Amino acid sequence: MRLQLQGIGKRFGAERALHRVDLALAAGSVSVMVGGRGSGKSTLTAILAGILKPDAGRLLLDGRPFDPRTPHEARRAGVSVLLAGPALAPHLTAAENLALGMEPARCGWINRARRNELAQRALTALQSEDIPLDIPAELLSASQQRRVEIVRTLMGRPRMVVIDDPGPLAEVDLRNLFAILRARAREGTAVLLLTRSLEVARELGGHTLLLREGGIVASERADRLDRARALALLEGSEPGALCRRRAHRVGGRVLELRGVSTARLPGPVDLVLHQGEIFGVAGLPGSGRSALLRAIFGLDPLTSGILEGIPQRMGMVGDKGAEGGEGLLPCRSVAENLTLSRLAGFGILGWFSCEKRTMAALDWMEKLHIQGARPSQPVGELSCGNRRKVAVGRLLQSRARLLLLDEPVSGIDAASRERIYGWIAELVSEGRSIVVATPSFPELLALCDTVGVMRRGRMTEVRPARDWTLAEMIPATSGVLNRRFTPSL
Amino acid sequence: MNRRLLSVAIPFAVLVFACLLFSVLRTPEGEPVRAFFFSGGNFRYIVAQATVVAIGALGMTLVMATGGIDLSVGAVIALTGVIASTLLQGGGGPGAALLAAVGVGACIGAINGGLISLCRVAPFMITLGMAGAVGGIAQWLTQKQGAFPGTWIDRLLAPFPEEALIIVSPGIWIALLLTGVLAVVLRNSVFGCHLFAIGSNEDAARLCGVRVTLTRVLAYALAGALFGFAGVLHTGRVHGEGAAVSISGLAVDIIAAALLGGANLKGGTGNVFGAVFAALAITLLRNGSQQAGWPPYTQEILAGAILILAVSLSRYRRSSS
Repeated sequence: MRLQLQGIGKRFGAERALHRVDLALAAGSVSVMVGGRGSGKSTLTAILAGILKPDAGRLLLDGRPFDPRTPHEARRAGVSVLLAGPALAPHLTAAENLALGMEPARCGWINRARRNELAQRALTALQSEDIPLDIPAELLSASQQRRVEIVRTLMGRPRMVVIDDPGPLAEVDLRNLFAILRARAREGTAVLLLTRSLEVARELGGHTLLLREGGIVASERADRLDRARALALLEGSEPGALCRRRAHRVGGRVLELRGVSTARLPGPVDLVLHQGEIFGVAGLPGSGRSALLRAIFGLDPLTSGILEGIPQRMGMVGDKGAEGGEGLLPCRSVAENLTLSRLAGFGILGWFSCEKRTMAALDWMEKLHIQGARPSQPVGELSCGNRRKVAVGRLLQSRARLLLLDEPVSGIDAASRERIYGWIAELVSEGRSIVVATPSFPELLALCDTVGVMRRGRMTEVRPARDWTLAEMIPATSGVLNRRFTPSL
Repeated sequence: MNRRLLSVAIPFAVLVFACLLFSVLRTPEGEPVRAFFFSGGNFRYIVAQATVVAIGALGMTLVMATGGIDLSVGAVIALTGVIASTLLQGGGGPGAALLAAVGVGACIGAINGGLISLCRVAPFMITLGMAGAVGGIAQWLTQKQGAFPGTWIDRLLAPFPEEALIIVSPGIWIALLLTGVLAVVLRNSVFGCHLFAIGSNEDAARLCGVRVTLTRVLAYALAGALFGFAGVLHTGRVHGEGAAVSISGLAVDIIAAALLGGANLKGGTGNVFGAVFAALAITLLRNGSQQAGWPPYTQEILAGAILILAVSLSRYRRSSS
């Protein structure tokens, strides 16, 4: 069993999702592909599963072309793929989900006893006996649901297993999964795990591939991987674009979080934000940066703790991967999106002048260097970086008193980054407060007044920005100092 | 609370509420409604009427399990009814009339399912268009229609069966049998499991190798066949008199019954026993308001209110679990 990817490329409109990816997955090998958001992991998984067709390159399975048309076909060829998104039917039970598409049946009638027995055996083999078989999957915990999906992926001993993100597994389950995957590899299965976390790559071992902007930028054995270099490769942000901040006054408390946690944020998180303060959230992908911002904005209901002093007007540029995403209207025009929050300024009594709006939009497009786009073009057709600029641009014009920025400059060129950071600094001098999360530590240290470090869904340390050094931050986010997993989790 | 239990408990609660309501109300002339409402003859009449709604609700439950809806149900019942009576009038046998009606219903359903899969359009849009087209054809055929000779089709839903031994008319027995069979199909067959899987998470079903298009077309076709059968029963019951006209409220009742009985608009749930109970409850309310001497439009108001109640309850059931 040997799967080869040769020069795989995939485009979506103007955007390049994958570019010349070469990869060989042999029987008995364990590979971990690490990449941030938008690096092309999901596209690659979808191609392996037969959901997407590559535009360039080819796939070879044991030397013969591998061109599955459906995930089912890929699976019959021995390649079992688990996508990142939820893959269970929420109303069906765990047993029904495990058997879906391959029910033990005679003449169309399901043998329920046999189905339950098979499901129970599959769960037991993967140490997941605690999952009840007979209640709807939607009543299981997020971790249990993901485990059911993983068990389904491993059922029937496929020759190759591809898992896109282990997802919300608890520590114990994660380590359990790693043990199982290693055992499977020893029996000759090819294993490929895709994740955003370097820690997962380190823990599972095997071969590590770093994916950035659709291309593999490094390929090394896990134990030889230098963490600092890997982070620099993954984020690819040259810290040249440091902005000089104006001196500004930090006022009274605007917002206080005490012991906050949500479904996505294990917590508890404490945070205090003052008027005119820029609070930076540092952390590796998956550390809870985005979840914290979602919790403050009220997108995820709190499961515990309290949030005090939420201002009336809040603005947010969200996670581009999540549903609802960046807060853009994809099928409406750039001009509409840019001006949505201040339409009233272009006219009177609920009527506005299209001309004035277009002029304002053009003005902002120039300021933000949104190139290669017309004001009348739907935002959904824009490239990733340009969409981000539109989202940030709209927020910069709003009258919100508290701005939440989740990776506001990801995918944006260095010159525009600096300009955007300049505007952010200007906003706080008007007395607004900002919480910003970005993967680039140098940028955070240069921009923010206070920087808090997040790790595994907790705020582990908060200090004024001037008291942090870059050298301290990398170990703080990844927890290298006390690296071993805490077994209590 | 267990979803399956709730599916039967809610329609039962509506049923009890209706009974209580009409046992205390009085007609405008001052007579208690219960005097006639609770008579055996009236109950037989209600059950016969409810059977048409119940069979329609069985089909609707199948479609709703996949996350769809069939708004053409009323039109299909009208058309198949007219086709059956036209055939009888032209000298065709009752068996042929029944087969033709069921076949036409299944074909319309298959076309619905096929178009929904092919065009990837919201089911309510396709079936709304189909409702218009099919309803028009039914009206066109009705113009040529007259009385037809009596056959066993008329007796399928007669309040008093000819053979007193079987207690209720054969149509009701068939409906009960269909309910039982469909319950087993939904619970124990690969087809039934795949119906719920499609409605619950279509992508997941496709990923697992479920033949989504085929299953969906089969679901709509089966539902269409059931609507065709309901059309024949209805025509037989009213003996072809204004068959196309008297179905006006039927679609609302059928959709409300399926929803009240545990289905929801997003798919993934549905319970045939709940649907049958709900059909009975809704018919009871309609009949009761007639006995109470309320003007005919109150029936429509009631039916609309129940539909809205059913939809909001299905939303609530979803969020509470």
